[in-house]
Amino acid sequence: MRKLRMEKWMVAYFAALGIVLATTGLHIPDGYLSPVTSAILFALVLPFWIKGVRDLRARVNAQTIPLVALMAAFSFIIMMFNVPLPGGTTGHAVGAAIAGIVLGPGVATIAVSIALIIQALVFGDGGILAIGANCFTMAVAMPYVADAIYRAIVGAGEPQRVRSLVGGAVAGYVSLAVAALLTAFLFGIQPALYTDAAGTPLYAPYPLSVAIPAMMIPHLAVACPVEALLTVAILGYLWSARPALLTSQAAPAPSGAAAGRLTGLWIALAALIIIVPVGLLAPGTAWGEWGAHELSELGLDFIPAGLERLGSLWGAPIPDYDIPALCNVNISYWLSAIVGTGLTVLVIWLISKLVVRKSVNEERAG
Amino acid sequence: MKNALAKTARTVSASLAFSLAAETTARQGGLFQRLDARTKLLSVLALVLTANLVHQPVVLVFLYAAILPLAAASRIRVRTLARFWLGIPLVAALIGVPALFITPGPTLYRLTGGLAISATGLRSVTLLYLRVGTSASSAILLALTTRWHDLLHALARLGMPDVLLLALGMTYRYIYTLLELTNDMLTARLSRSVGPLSASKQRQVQGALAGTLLARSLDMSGEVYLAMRSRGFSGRARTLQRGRLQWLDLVWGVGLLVGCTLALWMGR
Amino acid sequence: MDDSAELVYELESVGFDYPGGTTALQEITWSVRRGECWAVLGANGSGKSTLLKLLDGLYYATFGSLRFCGDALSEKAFASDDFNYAFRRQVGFVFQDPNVQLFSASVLDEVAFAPLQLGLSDAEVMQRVEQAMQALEVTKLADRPPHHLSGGEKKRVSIASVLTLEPQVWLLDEPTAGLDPRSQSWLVGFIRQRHALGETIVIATHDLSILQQVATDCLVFGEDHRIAAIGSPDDILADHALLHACNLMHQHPTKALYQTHGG
Repeated sequence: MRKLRMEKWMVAYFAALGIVLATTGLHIPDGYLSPVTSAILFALVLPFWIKGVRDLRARVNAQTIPLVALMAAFSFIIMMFNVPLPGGTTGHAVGAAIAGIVLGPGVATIAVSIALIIQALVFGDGGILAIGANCFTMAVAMPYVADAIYRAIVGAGEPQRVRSLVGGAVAGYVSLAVAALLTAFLFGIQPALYTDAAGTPLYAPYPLSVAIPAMMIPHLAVACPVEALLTVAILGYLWSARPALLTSQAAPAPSGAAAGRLTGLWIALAALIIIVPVGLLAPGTAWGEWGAHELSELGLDFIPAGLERLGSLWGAPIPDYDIPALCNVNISYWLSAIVGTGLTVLVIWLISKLVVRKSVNEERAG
Repeated sequence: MKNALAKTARTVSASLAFSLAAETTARQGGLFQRLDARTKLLSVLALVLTANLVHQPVVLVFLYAAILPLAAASRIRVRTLARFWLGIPLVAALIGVPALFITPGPTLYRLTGGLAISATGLRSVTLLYLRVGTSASSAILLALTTRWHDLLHALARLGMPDVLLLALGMTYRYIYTLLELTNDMLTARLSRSVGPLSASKQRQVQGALAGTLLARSLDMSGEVYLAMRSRGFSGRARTLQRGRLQWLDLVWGVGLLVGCTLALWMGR
Repeated sequence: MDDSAELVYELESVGFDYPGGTTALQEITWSVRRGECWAVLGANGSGKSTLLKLLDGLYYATFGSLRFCGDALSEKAFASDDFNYAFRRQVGFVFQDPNVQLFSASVLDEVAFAPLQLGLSDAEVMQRVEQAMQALEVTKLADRPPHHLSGGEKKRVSIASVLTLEPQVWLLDEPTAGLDPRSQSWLVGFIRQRHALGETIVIATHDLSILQQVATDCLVFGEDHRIAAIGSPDDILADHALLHACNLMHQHPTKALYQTHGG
């Protein structure tokens, strides 16, 4: 198989096209991802939806519904904001970072998801099968990453304006970068998993070695700064007009102490969910060709080592990653991945239960 | 540089216009308008799924072409259809241009400068174009011929919990209110600004706009909750049952099922 | 008014502070009897909307006691589903902002919301919905989303959505705000009609023309969130010093009598 690599003209082409596309948002239409990938992503988002609804129930009871509805409407509108960048371009923001910071990631997941569902069903923005994928990148990954980064920078205690603005900028930038990376990852695994007998890619045609730089360069250059600027602009306004939303624990939907502590765990879960399928697939498959070598060219050589270890770790219950009854190799790989992911979710869920109980006990004791 | 505020204003008013246009199309008596929302929702899901499972470009061409008579029978405006039937897949094709050259496979046509279009590359980009085009325009058939509350009702009948339905319904309703509010604030701001605003000033204005919207949304959610409580809401939602399946739904449903099965069988 | 009529609301030294400490109402002692039509006058921010929310059991008094037909309206009372439903069936609240009042996906869903929540059977719900929509002439709007209605239509649908409760007590917050003259006069007619049926009505307003046309009694709020005066509409309208002091009338009293001040 010929090696796929970005050539110079392609870099220029994608840079030009990418800047146009990166400014129009991150919505994946149908046709780029295989239905199997879409189904798996629905399954991955499901626990976050459940957690989001639980978060809401715990906080505001019957007031949940109008709160979520208005926040979802807000997320929808914010996706239309055209933010000017220094240098002359403008771009659309996703707005999921600010939602994660102000509402807490659980509530933000529900709000942004509802906005995305309405965009797909009523305005034709983003695919219907791809709702799971879009929710995963924009409604789950973004708010959780943004919230974790923001909290880490702002630190414990009463937040201060400058730190909060810096935190917002970094959170906006990085969270969108993560979402773009996840999207690139979803695109990039398509040709490795779904080709016909002649080797024709059936969905998104680019391997990871092309998809990642093609997505990331314009996003890092344009879309991420847009998200950072908008997040800072909204935080700036809230600091002058509604500081209570940012400081007081009695804000409409603050994350409780336990929920805050769990955030890190949930991010770890999100990371695992992504890495686990890679771990299962990386060693010795058609993917291996892509694997270590190309990643190291991209300066990402630290990943494969970890993947290989994870691969053998998670491979344990299903020897050789192969279920004999299924002749289609791809299907059995993905089945293994689903089982692996399911087990991961289960384990993390159990750990989170234990942590919550423990922290509650500690609070009682202390 | 172009005025980003004016761009936002255009996006917002375009959405308002789209929502009104969808409302108007949904009132007309076309083919899709006559179908029950449940039938439509499942039909579109079946169409999109089929379009994404078929592996033969020839079969996809038929599916892609079949959208046109359906759209015509459902009185969808040519302009709106063109955006979803041609525009979105064209973007996909543009994105796919390099894939023509780099996908490994037998060479189909050699260009000057060492570039060669491969047969697999061409096939792959064609598949992408047809899948994206068929999916996007099927989705728009549903969006433009179905009133939102009918769609909600269909989701209810298909098993979505009432609480989520209420939240979805309210979101759509308040998107409109917030769109109008944004539109008013932007118009007011734009009419007051003489000459171009600097980028940083525009960002400040947008931050203030978005912040105001966020604060207003939070306040409004509290008031809306009171209004719901005043009329007996205590957290348990109940929605009205209506809509009936008719012969047309059955005939259409069977036809579509046969079509999709045929496409799946021929397009393996 | 007939003093022997049954007491609907009894307020004794009622006060209300918002969370965070802002005072909205102080020392309100007042009562409403069945069949009365009260106008609660006050400038913006004087506390009249808050008073209506207290009367509808949406907020609870911070101080003093508030009784409805003898029962205290407290958080504890509303925790009981039976009390909540019984109360909600009797009292209807029309919010000032139709965007708040109308939260459903279609007019039909909106009008059906209250009877559905109160657990009526589907047939009974539809019967009430049809009656209410006919009474307010909004039947042809049934399938429309509320956000595509005109201001006058929104107000009609708002009222229809409360009428399906078949309430004995109506609480109306700034009902004429933002309405064109034709809708305003239709609204006055509607209030008179409900009053003639013996229903109790409390209207919060700063529209002095309403006072003359429909109210039987009048309560005036001062800007200190206390009751400035209680009396008949004629007495209140004649007291220009009071209206000035309460920011209900500006330099041109004759003009002010017939117009609504800005929202």
